[in-house]
Amino acid sequence: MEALVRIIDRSAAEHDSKRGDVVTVQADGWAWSQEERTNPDWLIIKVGSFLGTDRDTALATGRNFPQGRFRRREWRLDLDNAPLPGRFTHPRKSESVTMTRLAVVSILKQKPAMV
Amino acid sequence: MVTVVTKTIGTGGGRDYSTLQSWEDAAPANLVTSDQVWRGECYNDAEFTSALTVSGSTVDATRYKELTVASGQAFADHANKLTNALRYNASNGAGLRSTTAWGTALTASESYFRISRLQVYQDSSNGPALQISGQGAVVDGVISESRGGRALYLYSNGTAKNSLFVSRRASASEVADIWDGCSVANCTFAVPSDIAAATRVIRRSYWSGNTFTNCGFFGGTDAVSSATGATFSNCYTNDSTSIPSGCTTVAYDTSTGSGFENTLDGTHDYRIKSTSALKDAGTSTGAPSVDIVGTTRPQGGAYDVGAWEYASAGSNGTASGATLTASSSLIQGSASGQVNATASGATVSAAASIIAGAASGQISATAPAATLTASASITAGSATGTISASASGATITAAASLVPGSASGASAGTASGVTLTAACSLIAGSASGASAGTAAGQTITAAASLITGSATGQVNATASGVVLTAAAVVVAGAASAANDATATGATLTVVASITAGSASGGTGVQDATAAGATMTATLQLVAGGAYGPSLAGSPGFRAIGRPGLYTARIGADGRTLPRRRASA
Repeated sequence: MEALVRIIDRSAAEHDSKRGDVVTVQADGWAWSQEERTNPDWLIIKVGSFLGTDRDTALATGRNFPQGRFRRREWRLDLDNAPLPGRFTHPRKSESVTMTRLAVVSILKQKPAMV
Repeated sequence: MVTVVTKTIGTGGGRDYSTLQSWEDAAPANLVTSDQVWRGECYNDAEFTSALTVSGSTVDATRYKELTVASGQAFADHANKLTNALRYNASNGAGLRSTTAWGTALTASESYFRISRLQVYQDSSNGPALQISGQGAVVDGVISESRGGRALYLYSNGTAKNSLFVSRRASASEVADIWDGCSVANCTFAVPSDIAAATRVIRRSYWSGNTFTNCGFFGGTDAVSSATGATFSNCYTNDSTSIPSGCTTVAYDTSTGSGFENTLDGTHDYRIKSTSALKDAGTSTGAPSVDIVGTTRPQGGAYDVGAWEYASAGSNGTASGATLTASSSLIQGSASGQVNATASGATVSAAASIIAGAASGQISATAPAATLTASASITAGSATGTISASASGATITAAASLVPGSASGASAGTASGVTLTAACSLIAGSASGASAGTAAGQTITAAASLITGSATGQVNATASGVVLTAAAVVVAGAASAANDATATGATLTVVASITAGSASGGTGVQDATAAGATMTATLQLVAGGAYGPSLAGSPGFRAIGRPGLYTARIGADGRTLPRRRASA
């Protein structure tokens, strides 16, 4: 599978999209648009043997809505502790990087509870 | 000044984003300071299968995110929209279907989010379809279904109209959960009849200030769990116990109660039939002007209840070929009847028509696309009004026609683009009016015609461009009319013709004028005994008792080349 990942916070608000949030996950060979391949805030991570459950975890949202107490993603990729973290600095350094499932799962971290 | 930033979404080549979520995530963090509306237009390249979450940006009432469907891509644009079953079907238009267990197809926690013309389906055993927890949202012309729970959650001060909400989960808690201050008009809420009823159709949350107008609530044990503080107007339900004021009980059926086309889970279709008690049972106060697929409200005597406005069937036109048609129709005033144009082919067309016994109004068809045809027509016993068709795109055909018994009005077709065909016609028993076709572009065909029993009027066709064809036609029993075709350009063809059955000493004047490097002007007279002082360029053509086709060729220097005669 291929994951489109945000590599810089969109804003400081806790409920907003953050660095390490998975924007979307698509099948191998997905025809990403030009914008998705070049937006400096994103990076495509190609993951071998990524499971459906992995995808569901990566895309899971916070549940404590309404009234704005909602978080885009409940989990994030800890890109600062990924192998060769320089690949994940903003702005994007390449269109995509390839990682093993084990490497991705090892940096998939649940966010702390909202205050 | 707010800027609307429109982005295209779909898997087809050239779209800005291939997924809904990447469109959303690319939005500015603060739409207020950037002074933007962030608008996404979905294309039905393929069904969207990844859930969407809308959240995080700073917004206000005039700067927000808006998700809609591009013109020609929605179920409401489908060629067979009037006969397609009213339910989620991504084959009919852009749709989002999520299969994630315990997920939500579309979540919007951000305020003022707007969604229109899209189909949304949560296709798992648990989870809602459309969950809007930000205030001030607008839901318009949406089909939302869930197999796992509620079809709609609408938070404070939201608006929902012309939408269908279906929960397909047995014994669901509710079909919709609607909070305080919301306005809901002409929506249908239902659980299929062969599925165990929901506890209630509408769940009570905070009812203060809620208004429900022309809505239908079917398939729940209770229509609403509590109506305290809410106002209901012309609403219908199959619930017969303790229903709120403003609601009427009818059977949930396919005949004279709710009168839906089909209420079964696998084949549900929430269009209403002519026998439905929901037909003409609504109020005009607060009702939208069109229904979920764009049919003008009201049809017949009054507004219908629910998302669908019933329109009686009528004559159909069918065309087939390489360049063909989709259809839309409008029936206004006190008219009954319907005309559909149906076509299939590689090239998309759009059509709109109005048929009236006694009507006044305006009708227009607009269709932007790479290749398209737009047409609009009005047929009336006694009508006044204007009609227009406009289109823009790479290849365009625009047509407008006015066919009155005794009418006055204007009929115009306008097109602009690289390749254009524009036509307009006036066909009258006894009419006065003007009919004009104007086209400008690199390659143009413009035509105008006047067909009369006894009419006065004028038909003009004007074209300018590099390659032009202009034609004007008058067919008259006894008419006085002027019929002109004018074209200017480097290469052009001008055709004018008159056909008269028994015109004596025909008074029609028919001129064809052209100027350019190369020109062919043709005048056709088809008559039993017709006389026409007609001109094609400089040469005069006359046919007295001898139908014929005459052609003159005029050189670039303006000299008239030898005339030729061809058989009629």
